[in-house]
Amino acid sequence: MFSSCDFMYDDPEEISTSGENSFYSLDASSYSAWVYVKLSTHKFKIVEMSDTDSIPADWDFAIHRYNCKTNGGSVMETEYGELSELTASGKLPSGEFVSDIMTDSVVVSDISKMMLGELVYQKTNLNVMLSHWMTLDTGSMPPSYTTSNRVYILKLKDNTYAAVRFTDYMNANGTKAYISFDYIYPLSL
Amino acid sequence: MTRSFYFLFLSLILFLPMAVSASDNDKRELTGIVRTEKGDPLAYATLHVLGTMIATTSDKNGFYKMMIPDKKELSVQASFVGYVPLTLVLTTHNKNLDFKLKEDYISLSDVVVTGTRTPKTISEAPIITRVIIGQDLKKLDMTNVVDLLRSEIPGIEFSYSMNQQLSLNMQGFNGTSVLFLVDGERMAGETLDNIDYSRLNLDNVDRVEIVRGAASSLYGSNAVGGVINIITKKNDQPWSLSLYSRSGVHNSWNNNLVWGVHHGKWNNNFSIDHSSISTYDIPKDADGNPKGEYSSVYGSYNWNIKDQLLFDISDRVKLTGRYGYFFRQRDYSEADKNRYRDFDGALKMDYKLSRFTTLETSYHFDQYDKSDYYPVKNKDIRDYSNIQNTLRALLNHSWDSNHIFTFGGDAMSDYLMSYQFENDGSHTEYLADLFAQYDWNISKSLNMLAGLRGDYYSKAGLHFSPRISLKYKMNDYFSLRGGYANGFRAPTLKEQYMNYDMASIFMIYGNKDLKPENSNNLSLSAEYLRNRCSFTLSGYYNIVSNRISTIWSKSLNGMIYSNAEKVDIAGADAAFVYRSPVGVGVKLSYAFTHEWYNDGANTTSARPHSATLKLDYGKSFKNCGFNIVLNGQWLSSLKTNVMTSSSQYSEYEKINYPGYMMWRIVASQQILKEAANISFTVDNLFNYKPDYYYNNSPVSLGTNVLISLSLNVDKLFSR
Repeated sequence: MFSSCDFMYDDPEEISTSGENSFYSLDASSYSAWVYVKLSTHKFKIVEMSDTDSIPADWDFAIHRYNCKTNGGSVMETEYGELSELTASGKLPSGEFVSDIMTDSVVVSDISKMMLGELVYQKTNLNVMLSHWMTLDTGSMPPSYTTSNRVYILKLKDNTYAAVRFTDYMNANGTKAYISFDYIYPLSL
Repeated sequence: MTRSFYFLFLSLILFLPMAVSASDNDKRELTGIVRTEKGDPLAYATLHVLGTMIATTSDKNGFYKMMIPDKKELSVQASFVGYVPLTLVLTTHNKNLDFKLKEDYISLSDVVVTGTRTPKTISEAPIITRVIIGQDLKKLDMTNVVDLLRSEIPGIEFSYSMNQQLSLNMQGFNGTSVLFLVDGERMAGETLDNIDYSRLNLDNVDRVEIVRGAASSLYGSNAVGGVINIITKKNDQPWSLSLYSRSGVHNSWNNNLVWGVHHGKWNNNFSIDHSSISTYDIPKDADGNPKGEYSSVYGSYNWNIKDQLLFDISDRVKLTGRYGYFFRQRDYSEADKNRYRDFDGALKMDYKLSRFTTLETSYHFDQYDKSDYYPVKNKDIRDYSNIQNTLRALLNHSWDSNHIFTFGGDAMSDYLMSYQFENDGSHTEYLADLFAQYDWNISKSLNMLAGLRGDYYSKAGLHFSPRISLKYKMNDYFSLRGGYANGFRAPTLKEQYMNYDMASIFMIYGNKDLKPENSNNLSLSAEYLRNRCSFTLSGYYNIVSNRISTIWSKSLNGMIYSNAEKVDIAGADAAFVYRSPVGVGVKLSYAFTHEWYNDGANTTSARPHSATLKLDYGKSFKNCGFNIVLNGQWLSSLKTNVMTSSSQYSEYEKINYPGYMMWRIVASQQILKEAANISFTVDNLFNYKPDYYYNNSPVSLGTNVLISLSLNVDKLFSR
C-alpha cells in the first residue's frame, strides 16, 4: 500500500568513491576530519583531526568540507572551465602559484556549541586559492553555494603538476559536502 | 490496531441508518406564489420545508405546490439566487403561502457549510463565515488561493520561510494551525509546516469559505486559528467548455481548460491547468550584492489535473468519484530541480435516509511526494512521501427547523517517509475520532450550537475538543454572537521522529513525548445586515499552550521539538460591505492582532494592523458587459525578534519590518453574449519597490501588467 508510484522515481545512486581520473562523492562532510588525497596512487583516506598519527605519510592535497590544503604545494586558478580546454591549449597558463597559509579562524572543527555562540576552529594550513572553488555564503538561510567552475593547477612538493576540476559538492541524495572532482596527473604541457 | 479501527468505523456507518427512524407524517397540500418585491412572479425559486428534505421549485408563473407533513407548525423557506431567502411560519390552517423576495445585493443568501457542516445561508449561520464566490474570483482575475486570500482577507500574510517556501500567518497562527480543506477533505504533505498552496488553483472553484477561530470540535487537529474550505464547482449544464489563458511579467503563464458533461444521471467535470514563471533576480546594490534575503526568485511550472464524476443512483442516493494529479517543478539550481507531486482520489456517497436525515460517507486517498531531479544525471530521486487514507461518515438529523443534530466519525492512516528521518525511514500513525453537534433554535431570536469531538491518535493519545456558541438576533438586522471553542493540533510524525542534519549547521531531533498544542478561543461579535449593506465587528482571545517549536538542547547538542511556547493572541476584525443602487460595490475590512509571549522573546510574525479594500463597478448589456475592480491591501510595520546569521542563529535580534500597501486594478470586458472575457490587470499599481527584500516583503519588482482571455465555448452555442 505504501509503495505506490515508485515507477516514477529512480533509486538513489550507490555511492562510489572513485573512477579513473575522477573521485566521486568523497565524504568530506565531517567537521572534525580531513580527507587526504594522493593522486598518483588514486587513493584517499579520511582522518580525524585528533588522530594525527593516522595522517598518511604521502599525500597531495586534503579536503575538509569545502576547504582545501596542500602538502607543501601551491595552486593557481586558471581561466579554463574544463580540463580538456587546458590540455588543448598545450601550455601552462601564466599566473601566480599561491602557497598555503596558517589560519586559526577558518576551518571549523566543532559546531556542537554553535547555538551558544561558540565555534571551535582548527589551527591548520589552508590553501586559499584551491578553496576558492566554492564560495559558501552562510549569511542567508539556507546557505548559498557558488562554485567557481574553474580548473586549478597544483604544483606539488616534488615539482610535478596536477590539474583539478571540482564537479559536485553533494552526493546523489543531495547531501552536501560530498565532493566530486576530475583530475589529470601528472600534468605535462 | 488499524484493522479494529476500520472495523469499528464500518460497523458504525452500516448500522447508523437502522438507528434512525424515518417517520413520514400524514401529508397535506400547500400551494402559493413566489414574487419579487415589485410583484413579478419568480420562476424556479426553491421552496424548502425547514428541518426536512421536502422541497420543490416554483413554475414559470412563480406558482408552487407541494405535499407537507400535517404538523402543528412548520417553517417554509423560499430562496432564489440573488434574493434574500425568506422563511415564513405555517400553522395547520394554512393551505396557501405566498412569498415576496427582496433582491440580495451583498450575497447574504449564499449557502455555506464550513461553520457547522450543514448547509446554511450566510445570514443564518451560527458561526461567522466569510465567503468569496466564484463570480468574484472571475472579476478579480485570480488564479491561485494565495493571491486571493492576500487581497481579500486582512490579517492573512504569506511570506517566505527558509528556502523560499511559502509560509502562512493568519492573525498569529501559522500554517499548521489553519486547516485547509478541498471539498471538506484534508490535504497530505507539508514543507516547513505549510501545505503546498500551489495545489489550490482556482480554475474550477465555486467558492472559498473562511471561518476564523478554533473549530476542532468539528474538524479535529489543526483547526486552531481557522478553517479555509475550497469548494469545487459542479457543472449544471448539458455540456460546458471553458478555456482561459493569462500572461504577465517574468514570462508567467496560466492556461486552463474546464470541460463538463451532464447526461441523465451522470455528470462529469474535468479540468486541466498549467502555469509557469521564469526565475528572476531581485535588484542589486552598488556593490552588486542582492538587496534582500535572497538573490533571485526561483522559477517553476505546475500541472494540475482534476476530474469529478457524479452519479445519481436514485433520488435518495448520489455517488461522487474524483481523482487528481498535481506536479510542480521548481528551478532550485541548474543542477537540482525540486519536484512535488500529488495523487488523490475519493469516493463519496450522499444518502437521504429519510425526510429528516442525511448520511454522507466517503473514502479519500491522498499521496504527496517530494523528489529532487538532477538533470545532468537524469535522476529523479524521491526523498519524501506522505500518504493519507481517510474514511468518513457524517449524519445530519433534524426533527424540525429548530433542531439539527450532527454526528460523525473518521478513521485515518497517516504514513510518512522522509529525508528528515533517520536513514530516510518511515513512520505511520492512525487516527480515529467521533464528534457530535447540536444546533438548536431555542427561540426565534436565540440559537445555541454545542459540540464535542474526541480524537484518538495511536501515538499521541486522546484529545477532547468542546465548543459552545450562542447567537442572539435582536431584530431583523442586528445580531450578536459569542462563544467558546477549543482548538488543538496533534504533533506530526515529523515533529515526533525527525533526525535531520540542518545544512550541516546543527541537528534537529524529534520528540516522542510531545503533547498536542492546545488553544482555548473566546469570541464575541456583532453583525448588522441589510440587503444593501453589512457591518461586522468581531473580537477574540486565544490562550495557546503547549505550542510546538524547536528549542536548543544542551544534552543533545542540537535542536529538539518541544511544547515550549505559551502565547496569548488577541484580535479584532471589522468588515463593511455596501452595494449602491447604481452598482458600485465597496468592501472594506480591517484586522488587528496582538501576541503575548509568556516565555522568552517575542518572535511574533503577525503584523498588528492590516486592511483590505475592494471597490467594484460593473454593468451588463444585451450582448456584452464590463467590470472594473480596484483592490488594495495595507499591512502595517512589524517589530519583532529573529535569530540571524550574524549571531550564528543563536541569539535574538530586534528587527523592524516596514509596512506597505499594494494596489491592483482589473478591468474586464465581456463580449459575444458574455461568452468571451478579456481582462487587463495592472498589479502593484503605485509601483511599490521594497528598499530591502525581506522574506515577508512583497516579491514585486514594480508595476506590472497581466492580460487574460477566457472563452466559454458552450455559451457561443446557447441561445
